[in-house]
Amino acid sequence: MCTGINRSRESMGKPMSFDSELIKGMRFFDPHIHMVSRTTDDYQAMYDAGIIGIIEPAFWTGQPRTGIDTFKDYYSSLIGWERFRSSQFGIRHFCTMGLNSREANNEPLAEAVMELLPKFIHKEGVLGIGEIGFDDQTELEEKYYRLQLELAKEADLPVQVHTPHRDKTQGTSRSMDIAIEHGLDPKMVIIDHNTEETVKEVLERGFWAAFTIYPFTKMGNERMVEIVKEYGPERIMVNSAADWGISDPLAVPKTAALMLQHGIDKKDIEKVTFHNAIEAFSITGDLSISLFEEDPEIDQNEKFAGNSILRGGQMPKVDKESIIIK
Amino acid sequence: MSGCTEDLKKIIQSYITEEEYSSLLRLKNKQNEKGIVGFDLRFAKIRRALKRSTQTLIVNEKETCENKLIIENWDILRLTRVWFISLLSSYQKEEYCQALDELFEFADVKELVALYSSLSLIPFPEYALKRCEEGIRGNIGAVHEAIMENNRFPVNHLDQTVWNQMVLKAFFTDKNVLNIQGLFDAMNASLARAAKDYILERNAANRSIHPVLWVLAQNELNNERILSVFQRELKNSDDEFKKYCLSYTLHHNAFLKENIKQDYPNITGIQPTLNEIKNFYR
Repeated sequence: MCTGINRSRESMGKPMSFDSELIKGMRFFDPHIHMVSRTTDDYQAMYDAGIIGIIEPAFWTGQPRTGIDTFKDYYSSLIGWERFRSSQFGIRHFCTMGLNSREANNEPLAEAVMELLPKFIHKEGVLGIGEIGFDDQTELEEKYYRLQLELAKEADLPVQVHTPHRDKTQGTSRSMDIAIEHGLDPKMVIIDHNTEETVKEVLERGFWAAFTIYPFTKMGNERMVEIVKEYGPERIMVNSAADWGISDPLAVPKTAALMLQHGIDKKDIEKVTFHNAIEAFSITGDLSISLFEEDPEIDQNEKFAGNSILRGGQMPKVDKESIIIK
Repeated sequence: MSGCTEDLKKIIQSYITEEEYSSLLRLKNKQNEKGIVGFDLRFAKIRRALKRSTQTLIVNEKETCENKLIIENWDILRLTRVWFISLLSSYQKEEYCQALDELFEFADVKELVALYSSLSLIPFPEYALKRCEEGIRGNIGAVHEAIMENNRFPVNHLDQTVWNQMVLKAFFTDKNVLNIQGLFDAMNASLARAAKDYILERNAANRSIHPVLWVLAQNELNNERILSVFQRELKNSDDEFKKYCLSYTLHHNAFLKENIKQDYPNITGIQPTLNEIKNFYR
């Protein structure tokens, strides 16, 4: 999320350059990124850094929505235009659908969204219900969190749970308690935005633990390195949650590079930056490791501007170093 | 239309397993119980009835559904969705259009491709026309391709202004323009002028000129400026297809014939027909 915090350069320490050579040849999957807020430059940089798949959870778009049609158009864009945009850069785009916690507080609108959601959750590439959960931890947030857990259960879909910024530790425990109360298998629930304070309980209770590398307000990746050192790679995944705030769409590959520099085993890094997320979201069958082994030309959906080919590397590339624009 | 539905069913059946076919029939039979209500949800569940490995099987059927469809490189999922859309054709206009509105409004990219592939099967052309124009105006490459390539609806129904916009957009978005059905049958003066302007614009930008543009612009090539571009293209025509297009244009334009003094035997000797140009890559 966006932040008004202004850090002085001095307090940020000495910048360390991103040596992309370190991660050359590695593949990454970012299971939480809001590309609707990002540019084509980001897509190109992500592809260049090895990101070949992403999940875009439905979220709050910054300006509160006042009518149901804007939700409908937003959900449609997640399975339409945004997916096409991503395919132009050789990145497979998936999404999760849900009513975010902030907007759950507008009850009449939330009711209308709940009627709309079933029309979208069975579409291709919709891998689960998300991101849902608590923000201010109000009664209405709880009501719509519970209703969406039921929706996920009925549709046999995993759930991507946003945990609150404020009163996080207690809010995270409560999110898990409610999921269990509704009979969800912890293996079907991805608890997101974890910290050092929440990870132990999340893992012990059998849930997936996702970590968001997001400057200033969520995790830093040096802390992430320590978490993987302490807890190992099982059921842990890293994401960027990059959006319209000061965030970094390369957070996953950068974190992998930092982990390599700190001596974490490459196989473990691959788990937390690629395999685990794919496994957690593979329930619908739309996402699997084998998908990334396929020749992308086979997939007729992934067409860009006219040619039935998807080879991100062959997309016309703008030379950013040159002042000449052809 | 029932003949078309039957045709599609037979093709689909020959590609999928019995189990998959039974799942599809279960979805289809809900139509008998529930009518058109909830069709959008059944449509969304079609892909769940087919294994992923089946969904991506490729079908080629040149002439089917009384020649209304050209099935070229379609996957089975697309064909199955078109089959389901064809099942709706017996409904009254109001119910039918309402059901299709629902499908269009909530469709993902592949569902949109199936919907636009079905334009010729929609029994209410004025409704299909509105959808077709909307699809052309959009930005999604796969949707454009479903409308522009191997689809007879545009040439049969679009008015000239929209048709010309579609053809130009096909060039701008690098479509395989030879797959535009009726491209050479529906040539017109307005399109010729736009094609000529586009040639000059590409030339000014030092970008390559699609050879088919010359064919479309043939009746507008009548001044020194365009002559010099054409001559430069003649000198740089090592591509066989380009030679075909330039040769055709030269033979059908008196101004060019009169003003080009140098002989280009490897081009003028070809004299292709429009049909040969259209089928060059087939």
